[in-house]
Amino acid sequence: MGKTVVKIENLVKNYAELRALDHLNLEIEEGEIFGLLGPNGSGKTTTISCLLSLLSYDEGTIRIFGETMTPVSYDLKSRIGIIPQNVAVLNELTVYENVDCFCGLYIKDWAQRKQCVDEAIAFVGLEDFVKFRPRKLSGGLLRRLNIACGIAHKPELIILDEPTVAVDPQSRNKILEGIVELNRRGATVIYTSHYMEEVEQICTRICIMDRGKKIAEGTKDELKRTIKNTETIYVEMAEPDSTVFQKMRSLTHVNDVNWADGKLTVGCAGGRHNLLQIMELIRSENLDFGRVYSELPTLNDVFLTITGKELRDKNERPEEPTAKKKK
Amino acid sequence: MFFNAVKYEILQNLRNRQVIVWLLLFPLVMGVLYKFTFGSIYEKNSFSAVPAAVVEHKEDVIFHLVMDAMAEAKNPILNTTYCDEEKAYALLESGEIKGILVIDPPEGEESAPVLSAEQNAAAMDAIRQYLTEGRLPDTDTEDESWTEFLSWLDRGYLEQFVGMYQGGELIPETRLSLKVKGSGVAQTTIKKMAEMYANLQIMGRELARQNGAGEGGNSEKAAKVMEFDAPVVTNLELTKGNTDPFASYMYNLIAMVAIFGSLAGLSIAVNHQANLSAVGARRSCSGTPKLIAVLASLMGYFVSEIACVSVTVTFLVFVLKVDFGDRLPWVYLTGVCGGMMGVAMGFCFGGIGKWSQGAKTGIIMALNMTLCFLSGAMVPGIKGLLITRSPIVNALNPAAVVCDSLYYLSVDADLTRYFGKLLAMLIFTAVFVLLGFLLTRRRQYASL
Repeated sequence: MGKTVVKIENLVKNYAELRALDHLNLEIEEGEIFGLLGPNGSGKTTTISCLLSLLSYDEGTIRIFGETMTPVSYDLKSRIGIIPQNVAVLNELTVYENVDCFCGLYIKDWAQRKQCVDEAIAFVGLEDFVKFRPRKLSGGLLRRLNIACGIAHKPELIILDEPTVAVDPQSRNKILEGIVELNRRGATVIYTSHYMEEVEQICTRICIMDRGKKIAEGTKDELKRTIKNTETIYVEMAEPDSTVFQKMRSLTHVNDVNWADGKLTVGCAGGRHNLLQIMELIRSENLDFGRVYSELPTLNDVFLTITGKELRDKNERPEEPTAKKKK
Repeated sequence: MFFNAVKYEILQNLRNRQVIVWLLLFPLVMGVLYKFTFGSIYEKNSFSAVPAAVVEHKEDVIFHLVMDAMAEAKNPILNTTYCDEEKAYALLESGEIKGILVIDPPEGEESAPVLSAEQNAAAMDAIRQYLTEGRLPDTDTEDESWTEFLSWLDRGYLEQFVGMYQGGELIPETRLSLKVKGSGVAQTTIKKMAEMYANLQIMGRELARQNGAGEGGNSEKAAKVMEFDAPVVTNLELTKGNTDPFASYMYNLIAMVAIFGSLAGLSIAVNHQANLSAVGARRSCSGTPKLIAVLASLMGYFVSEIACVSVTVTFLVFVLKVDFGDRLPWVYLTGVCGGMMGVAMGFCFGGIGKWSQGAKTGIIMALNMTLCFLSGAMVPGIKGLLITRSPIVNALNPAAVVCDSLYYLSVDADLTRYFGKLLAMLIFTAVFVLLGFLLTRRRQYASL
């Protein structure tokens, strides 16, 4: 077990009558990519803001690198890199100047800083845009600049607060690969998002939050094991009669069976012969069927199971950035 | 770390469109507009001499002296041409001259010859000798006017001269008549010139009388008064600066640039508070103490603002040729202090409330305009009204403080009042910076 980098105990934060964080406990180990997953308003950003001592809180303690975090813990702050949800760059400065400006808040030595800035720019792939001002960058490139500004001083703990909002899929992949690379180089990462796919893809441990509370924590496999249906089988077919439903529900690993929109949905517990048994039943009943496919559970299923609601609105789509003219 | 931050604050400012527009372009454009709108009215150097013709029905030496003195002046008022009446009217018709001054003898009366001051003195001595000794002095001069004087005496005009001597009016009155075509500044100038000369004559005669021209006094001195040789009236220089109304518009312009520094200063508060901007949040999370970061920003903004004010003053002085007197370094110093005060004011007001930067910019802009209005930038009379009715408002108005300091610099011989205003600017700056620090000192927020 690695060293504890962040330890949050019984953190409570109230906004007037609203309890934003409700006795939150977290412990993040060195070398982890720790995902904070939850719907909008679940308390992810509030947790991060309290962690960074930007927000005051009502109860609880926060320790980073074994020391209590306070607003004047400048030594601790200099070991942390923050990539805020809203792009925090200076519009009048070029890409290089932005990274240098923020890196200058941590590193005094000019030569050392220059090396760090060059490395950070190369890391996020902005070498061709060093003389561009932020206004000239697309959403994806802007996000990458945002990241470069936060990691240039080579922090030991990197906090990324929804860094892929309004980013196109290509840039998103680039960002996610970069985060994994940063972790590989030794940084502990705290990653907040409401995109479960991203969290699943990169995080070694995940905390699912809702209404300021931690509702589940563990690796993605551990989380998925907490739910009943570990596999869902879909069969495109006409609606079967009730006897078929009864026979199907009587199968050993089948938890529930539904039909809707020309598709039979069968929720199954973990097992190797689920699909075979279902197909044998359909064939024995002489039922016509079309496409058959199987899906493993997602974190959304975990969230749905625990809270009874979707992690993300069905209508919600990742925002696409507005293309901007590049010179 | 500190100077790196200062460098980037300066760079940001110099590339900030809002700063460029309001702190550089706007004052330059306003300066040019002021120059073209009011410059021709007020500016001394731009006045060109009004062309006029002088028609002499008799020669008036003193009038010549006055005209010569005016022609040799730094900024001549009249450009006179001596000619006959016919030619003068032709020139007036063609528009080459704006008016005709006619030196006209009294109608139907033969008047005494006009003598120079020395001749006047000699003539009075001659008459005095005649009155005491009963004879005129022997003279062998070839001077035409003196010979004419003697011939007048021969023709029986001795009694007239004696009468003039006793009444202190040996220097005869010259009647000036004026003919102009149309109306305007040029015509008014010629008219005023004629009136001035008439007044001068009255004053000369009065001085001659007071100096005993007719009572055996110093007749030479009296005569010299009319020649403007004697230092009887001394032109005292009240100020080393420029007191014309055009300059006051320029003082307001400099004050405006200084106060508009608040637009830049506003960004300091916004960019250092985590609850006002993402950049503020990032800076608040950094390893640099907030006080140092804010000080670096203030320093950077001061430098930028000072550069902008200096550019404005330089443009006004060296391009638009605005006359700020011979105390130009002090004008720059005023700009420096005023600019710092403006930035500090923006820093202070930027820290108030949790509105967006756009909303705060709007509020600051409205405040700036109000302060500039109250300092007389739009309506010059408003400042005088405030000074008499509510001096405290004028004293607490940063824009008025800058204006006043420039005004005092211009009109006062010593710099006591100027330094008072300079000190007021520094106090304002210190108070605003202190309040700004108090408002932005928070490191933790209840909400972001």
